[in-house]
Amino acid sequence: MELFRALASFCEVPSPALIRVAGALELPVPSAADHAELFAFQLYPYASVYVGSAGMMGGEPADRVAGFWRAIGLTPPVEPDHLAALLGLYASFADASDEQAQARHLRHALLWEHLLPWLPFWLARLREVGPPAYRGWGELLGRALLVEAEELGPAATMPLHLRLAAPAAGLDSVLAAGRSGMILTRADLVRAGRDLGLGLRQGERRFVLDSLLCQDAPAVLVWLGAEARRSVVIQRAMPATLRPVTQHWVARGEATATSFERLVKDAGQAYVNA
Amino acid sequence: MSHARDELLRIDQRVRAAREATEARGETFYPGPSRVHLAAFPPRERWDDWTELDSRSWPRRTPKRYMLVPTTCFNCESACGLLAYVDRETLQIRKFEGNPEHPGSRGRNCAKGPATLNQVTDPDRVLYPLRRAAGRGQGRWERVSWDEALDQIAARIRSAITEGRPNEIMYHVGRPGEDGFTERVLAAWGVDGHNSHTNICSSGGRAGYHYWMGLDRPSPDHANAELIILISAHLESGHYFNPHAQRIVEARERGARLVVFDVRLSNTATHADHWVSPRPGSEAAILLAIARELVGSGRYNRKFVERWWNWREYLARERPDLEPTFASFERTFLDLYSDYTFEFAAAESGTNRRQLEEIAELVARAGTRLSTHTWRSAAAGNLGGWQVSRCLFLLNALMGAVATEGGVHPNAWNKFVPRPMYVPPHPPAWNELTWPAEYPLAMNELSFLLPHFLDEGRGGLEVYFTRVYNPVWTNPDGFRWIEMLTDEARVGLHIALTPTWSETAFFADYVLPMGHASERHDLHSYETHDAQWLGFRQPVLRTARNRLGETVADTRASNPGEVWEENEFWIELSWRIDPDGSLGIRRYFESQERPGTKLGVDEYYGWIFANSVPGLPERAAAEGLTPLKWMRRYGAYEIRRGIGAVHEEEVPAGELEDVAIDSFGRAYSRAPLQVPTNVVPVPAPAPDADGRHPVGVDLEGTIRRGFPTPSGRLEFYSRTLAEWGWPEYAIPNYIRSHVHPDNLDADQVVLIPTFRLPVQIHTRSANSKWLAEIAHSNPLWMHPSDAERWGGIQTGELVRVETELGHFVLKAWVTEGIRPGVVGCSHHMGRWKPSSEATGQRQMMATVDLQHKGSRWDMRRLNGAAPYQSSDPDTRRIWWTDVGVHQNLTFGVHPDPISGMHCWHQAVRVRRAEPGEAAGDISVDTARSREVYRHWLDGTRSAFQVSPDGTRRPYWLLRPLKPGHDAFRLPATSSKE
Repeated sequence: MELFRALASFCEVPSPALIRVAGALELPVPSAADHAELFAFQLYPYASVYVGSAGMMGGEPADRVAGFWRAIGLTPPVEPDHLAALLGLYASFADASDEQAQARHLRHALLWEHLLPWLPFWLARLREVGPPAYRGWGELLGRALLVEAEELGPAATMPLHLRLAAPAAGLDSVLAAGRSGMILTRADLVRAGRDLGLGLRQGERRFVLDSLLCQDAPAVLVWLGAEARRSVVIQRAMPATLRPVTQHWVARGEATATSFERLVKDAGQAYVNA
Repeated sequence: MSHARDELLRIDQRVRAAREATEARGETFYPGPSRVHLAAFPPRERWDDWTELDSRSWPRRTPKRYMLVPTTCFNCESACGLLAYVDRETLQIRKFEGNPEHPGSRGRNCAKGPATLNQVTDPDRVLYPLRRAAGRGQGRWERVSWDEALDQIAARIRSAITEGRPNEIMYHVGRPGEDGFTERVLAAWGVDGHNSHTNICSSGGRAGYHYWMGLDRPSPDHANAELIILISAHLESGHYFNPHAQRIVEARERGARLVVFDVRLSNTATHADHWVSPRPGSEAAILLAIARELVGSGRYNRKFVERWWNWREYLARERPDLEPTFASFERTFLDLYSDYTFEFAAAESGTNRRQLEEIAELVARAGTRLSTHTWRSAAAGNLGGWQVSRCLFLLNALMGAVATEGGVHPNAWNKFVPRPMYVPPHPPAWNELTWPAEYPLAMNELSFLLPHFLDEGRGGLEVYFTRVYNPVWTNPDGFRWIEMLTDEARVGLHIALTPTWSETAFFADYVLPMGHASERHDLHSYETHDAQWLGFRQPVLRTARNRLGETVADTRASNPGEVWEENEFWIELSWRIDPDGSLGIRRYFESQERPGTKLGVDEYYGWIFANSVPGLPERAAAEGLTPLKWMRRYGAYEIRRGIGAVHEEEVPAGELEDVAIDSFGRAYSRAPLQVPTNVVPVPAPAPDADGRHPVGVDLEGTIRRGFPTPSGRLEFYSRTLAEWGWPEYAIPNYIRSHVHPDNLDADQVVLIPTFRLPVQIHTRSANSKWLAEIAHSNPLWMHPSDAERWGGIQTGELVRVETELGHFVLKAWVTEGIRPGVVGCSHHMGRWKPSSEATGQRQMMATVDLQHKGSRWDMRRLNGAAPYQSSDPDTRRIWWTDVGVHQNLTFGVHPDPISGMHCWHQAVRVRRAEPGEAAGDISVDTARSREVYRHWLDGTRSAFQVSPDGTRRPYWLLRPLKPGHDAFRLPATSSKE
């Protein structure tokens, strides 16, 4: 399906050739700065960041995706779980779907195992924190994924990435979206600093979060709990078609919210007792 | 949802239509670089005007506009595609990257490709014609015009030709240029003067393949193999490193297994599932044990062997007592190799029997997807090394993994050499300086024996070209080369055609500047996989100026200094040899478009691309280009992919006329031979007694193409070897090496000098600063147990290695990455220049004091590498002093009596260096080198003794420049007599 290939090309640094693709999709052409803002600063385009145990690129989730490439006889690219590579691969399956039942099966597996476990939530966050130039792209990609999910039918089991996602373990796992049920972006942390009146130190997400916690841990914990609740709301608003996946995210978001609320409460009680 | 789906389908159709419309214009729809299609290259329609940020302007974002011009790398034989980034403002090349349109390298390069920029900007390079201004080797030069140089050279060549001394003209080539070009130049002159470096390189490997299938190179389909066996450090240092390595990596990612035979734990061996470190030279014993196991256990491709081996011929000639059935042959095979048990192989090679059994199991399981390769390594190191490649291919032949997907293809089927407009006839002369009677079966010229032959008075040289070749440094016995080159009675005029200074150029009369990868034309096609492709090397700035509307008729106008593109040089020289056409030479270098004028390179290549490359004119026309413009734009063209089993192809009826079939099924025909557009060299098996030429093999009533061998089949049994004096080696066999333990004294070990590091380019490594920075030393690898028995030698200590001729001094590297009892020292290192040589190269060369007294030579290092001020700011950042040691100077010549290959491995003694000795010190006695030469010569069987038909050499064997039939007749008396 050419549509997915065209959508995939938006994940690359915009070049003059993108004008042609954007024209065909009737979408605005993002600038290089828009691209950097979205993919380099806010929402990293790698499945492993969202379904892995540490909220980082690579590791076992990337190996699982690479295994999928190998299982179908393809050499995994250098970044097998990059959104562009996954959408490009999906497009190649969709091209052959009419003639080959096997291709339809592969398309279903790729969709449910490696795209839907994280991408709908990622696109939902894109609507909130992404540059305007990418919002139309995100909306179109979301619609296309949904139509595909309807067309191919539901997954029989929860995707492996999510089944293997360890339970959240407090602050250590807050940046691991698949465990905590929340995607915390740099923009979110900036907002936290602003909302809580805290100073913001530049750095990677964990560093920024640590610096906020150092300044006012109870307030930041309350804010994180609220963010987890907000994530649950986002997930609950997802179409029913995505339910096998959203159930995981809702459960993890609620568990995270509850654990932070309990932490704040316990800390407050400890303060009173002291 | 149906509405949503319809809407998406409408968008999908719109995108598809836009893509199709764009691609119909020959443009790229999706932007690159991109992960979507794994396309990491600029779209080709934007190669005329490509913008990137200027790295030197960082952190400012300054766009830089480039013109991207393809060419072909010149830094090894692989001929990978390069894309030169030409600055549109200054018309200077800023960098080289891979050419994504190249079918062999597919946009990827090793480090040597991008380092071409170092060579182009090398502040020490040769930019103008130079003539010596004092005695040869005294280091004084004067600049001359090309006209002066050409006139003198042409006059001497003309004299040699007209005075009946054609064998006094010799062209000695290192890095090959265009397939067949210079051979045709020499043929046009009527001179048998081609001399290649191949007998110090690959002729051992070639011989083993040649006797099997008639063609002398393997084309392994690594990417589709289930099992890959490499007898070498092939992933990093063999031909074709980059094209093969990337396909081996792909196969391994798919699950293919890799077996590497290498004495060292090379980078390649570290990737292997099985690393086998055999005693040097014992590889064939292992391979025969595997072969015996396959046949003994019945796990081989019986049908293929019965169909395609010349087993009937073997039985008829060698075992007429047996019933001529395949079952009989099968039993005989097991008898022949009954000694080759795994126990024997393990004991002979010093390896683990169980591991060998496991490898045999892998071979059996791989079936027809067995990809094997050896090139230099064991085949180039050992007496009888040619049997290593022969025994390796035996495994393919047993499994039927020949011209299959994942198997090994004969090279000529995966190579395309387009017919040029002129093909001069075979020269009528035979040059005994390169093809002496003692070596009737040598695969290539006995190039490295030249000083000894001249010493013996076998001939002399009026004009001697060394062309991108450095025999003083590259060949064994280099001091003998200096003795030869400084003797003007033996070498009348020495012309070094070279882009860079070299140890050999120091001893030239003329040093003439030739171009690097981006400064010359060449056509190349190599058997990198099962396909046929053509790569076009071109002077990048000439093409860039053409694109901007300028006309460049002479490449010197666009190259740096007065660097010339080689084809124009040879055309001009040929005209000056025969200015009025009376010698019949000039006609091969005349324009067809403008008769009576000189052929230009545009016409030359334009004709080839328009007339001899199937499909290219149509492909070019589809983009509105001439074939020449298309090749100048994209640099490479794939003619066919998936050639497959040519031997199984049915011979068309048009090629069959008055067919005769011999008793072994060889089919002969009287139909006129077709004139092929692909003139890739193929052997010429003899016609039948009635003059019909061989056309194929009769298999169950159908004539199939077969193999270009005398029998038309895979030759397990070589009648050629049997009839030309070597019946004991008529079948694949194991020959004990000259460095076999039986041939070593108790205090000797084996030195393997046949490996190199993947960033090295022979002589020209020293002109690539980036590469030299990565690797600039060649210490002596030794196992800790050896270091201990030699007195506890530590890494970094100086050791002395004593060879037959003398010794060299270098640092030790104690490592478990080499087999005990073997030491290793990489070649491609140890460049030097005499202290008298004021002109020339400063980069990566030691300055040495060279002393010569009688037959004794001593070299002592005065200075190593050092930073210096030049046009290239990088030369101020040379932080190392080591340049390695030039070990080849201490090696005697070891020509294998059959293949002619120099057997590189050395029996040496190692001990701590003497007080006062320094790294790089070398001492040699060339009187001793003469003794070594004569010792090896004594092992030969001269054509005068063994020729079965009064000729010098089997006519059917390949020869780079083949003389006419008459020249093959042996003279009445031996030149030795």
